[in-house]
Amino acid sequence: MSTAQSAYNANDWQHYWENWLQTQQEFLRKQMQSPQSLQSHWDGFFREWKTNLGGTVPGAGAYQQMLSQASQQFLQMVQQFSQGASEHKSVQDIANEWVGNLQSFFTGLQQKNARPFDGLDSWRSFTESLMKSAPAWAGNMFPPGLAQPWGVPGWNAAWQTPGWNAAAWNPQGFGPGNWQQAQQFMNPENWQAPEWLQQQNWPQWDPGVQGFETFDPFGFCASLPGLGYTREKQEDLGQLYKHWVDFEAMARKYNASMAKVGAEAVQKFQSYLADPPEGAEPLNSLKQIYGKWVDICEDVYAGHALSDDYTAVYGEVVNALMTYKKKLHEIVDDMVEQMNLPTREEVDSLHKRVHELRRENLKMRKELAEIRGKLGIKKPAPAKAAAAKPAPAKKAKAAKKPAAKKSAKKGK
Amino acid sequence: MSAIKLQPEEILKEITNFNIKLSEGIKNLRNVGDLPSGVTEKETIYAEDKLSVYHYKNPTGETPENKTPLLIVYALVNRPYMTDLQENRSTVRGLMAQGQDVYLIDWGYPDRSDRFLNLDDYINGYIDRCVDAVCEHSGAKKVNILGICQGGAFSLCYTALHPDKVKNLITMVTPVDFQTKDNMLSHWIRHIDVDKLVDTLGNVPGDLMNWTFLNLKPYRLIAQKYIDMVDILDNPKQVCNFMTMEKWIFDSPDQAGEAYREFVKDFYQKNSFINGGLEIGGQGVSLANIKCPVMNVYALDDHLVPPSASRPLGKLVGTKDYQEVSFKGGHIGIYVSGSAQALVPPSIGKWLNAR
Repeated sequence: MSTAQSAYNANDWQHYWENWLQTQQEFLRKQMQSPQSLQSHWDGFFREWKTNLGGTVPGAGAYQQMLSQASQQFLQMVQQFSQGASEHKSVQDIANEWVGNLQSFFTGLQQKNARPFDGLDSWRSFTESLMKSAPAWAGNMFPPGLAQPWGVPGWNAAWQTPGWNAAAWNPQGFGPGNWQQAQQFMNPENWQAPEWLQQQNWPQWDPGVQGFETFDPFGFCASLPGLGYTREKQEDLGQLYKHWVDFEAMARKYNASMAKVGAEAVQKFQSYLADPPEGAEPLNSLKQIYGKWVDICEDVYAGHALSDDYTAVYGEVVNALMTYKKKLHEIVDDMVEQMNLPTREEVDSLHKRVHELRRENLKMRKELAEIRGKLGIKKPAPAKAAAAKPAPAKKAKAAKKPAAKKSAKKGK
Repeated sequence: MSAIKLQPEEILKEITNFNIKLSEGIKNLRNVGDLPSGVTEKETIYAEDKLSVYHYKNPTGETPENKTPLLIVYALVNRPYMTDLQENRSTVRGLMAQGQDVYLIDWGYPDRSDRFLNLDDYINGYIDRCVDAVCEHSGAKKVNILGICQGGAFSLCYTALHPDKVKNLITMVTPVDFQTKDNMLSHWIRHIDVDKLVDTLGNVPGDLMNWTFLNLKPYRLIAQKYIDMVDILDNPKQVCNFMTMEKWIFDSPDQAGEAYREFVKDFYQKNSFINGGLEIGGQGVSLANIKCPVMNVYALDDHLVPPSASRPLGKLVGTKDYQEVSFKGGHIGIYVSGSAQALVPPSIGKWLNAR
């Protein structure tokens, strides 16, 4: 028998069960009127929110998803207390169970991120998603009959070089148009290294072993020097891969540090429950329990987020992500150029020149106005930008975001 | 003593109420309708590229007592309609009620064509031309400037570089020392390769800025805030207020890449207001060059610009007419809390009218 139950006398028990039955009836009645579960209620609410704000707030869909995940902790707590109460457990026991679950979660997160980057798992998930979408994409982009099915000769050739394409190792060969074969190539379980490579300690696929350090065929390929006229493009792909692996490793380091915050917060929360500070008001609602948990998390996080360790890992993960994205942008620019389209680099260069010209123009206008003023030719007008225009006659309305931006964000 | 005092029936009641409020919230959300982006009537008196300068019309029809126009220079982060959010929560109206003739720079939404705008373009270019436009419109020779947050840092630079055009300067929740111990953003940015970031992203996306700000207090801002929100979901007016704020918080323009690069390097990484060496457009910027009267308004619980980041201004400006006003609240509370609205605009208005 739990401590809380033993503290009750006979009258309390009677009162307890009367209240319990009455509340249960009320609860069931409400549930009958609105049979949705709390989770579905919550999700429904944020769907409505998204609809309401979707036109004005960028990325509303992504944020809704994030909120749904972020609120899980509270909803799971509510679920646990609700179930525990119906099983006549004491609130202390329920709270301890909930905290135990939190502890398991953060410990699991720490363990998961303490392992090296699982490139194999990431590669598998990437290829699964690619295999679903790529055939349709390729079909739309390069319909049959085009002289160059991929239209991007350099990259096409680069993909077909050893290290990035099984064609060199597979007698049947595969081109980017043959997705079925590509899938076989990309599935690590189908990997068969050529005999000569196997003699060079080629890493063997072992489905029982997790961890990138045990199976890194792509790292091996990425380290191969490029050959032939697509040499630079091959090496670009190799670098892209390395930057991706670097970023994933940094992201794990960051996640592990955040899991540490969670684990420390759980410990502090446990201490609070076991021995609350002198004069602390008892927590008398689920919201207050959750609020106390959040307060402790924020305290622990604030200390961590100001530490040198966190600042360093934060810088590392952001820098690694930018390095990866920058390389990706360069590769995309190269492909875009092959398609005879203006690249980002070209457009940026134009923008830069326009700004330089505008600065020169403004400077000259200002100097001219000053000279006019000195000569008393005419009252110098305020120097305005070349693009400056008079105010519209009608009343201004609040500026709105460009439509293109809104629609682009909606598609996220 | 037990930390938790909770009966099973209370648990079920709380869950039931939570569910009911969620249902009510969905109904109320449907009725929110269009959310305002500023409530006071205004006229655009100048426009250039993406920016506009607004002149506000006093709803009472009264002529401004103060003949020197007051130009609000807002941050590039978020949108300036926060100063005019709702009828009863409008800094603009509060200032007009104190006899000020209020103008405001709306920076608009920079796109990739604005990527190469730098701090010189913003401060010696845009702000200077906006000041000229306001002077021309009002007939005044100088302006009073109210700089808010990053706009306050811009205003300090502008006043130091163009002292002949500014009569009085007010800075509100403005960072001056960017490397105080309690400044989380300052810690985070130290090891970031800003050149690589800007070279990669071009402009810095508003969503990225939002995500960074949310992570200053992630447990409270990403989860608890919305759990707490359920409490007010059955109140249509409070739902509308909440959603208005929510709209503003995430209405975040992208940041022009070069200006962001220079701002982060010069202010956050080099802390140039404190350490010296700041140059904008090839001209050295020293706060000691600010000789006009200065009022510095800061929030005691500001987690973005802690008081310790704002208060060093007093020792750096070259004027003896320096005054501080503090209020109990956070970075955003200055615009929305009733007590801040009752304190801040009247304090500014009276201070300006006396000069």
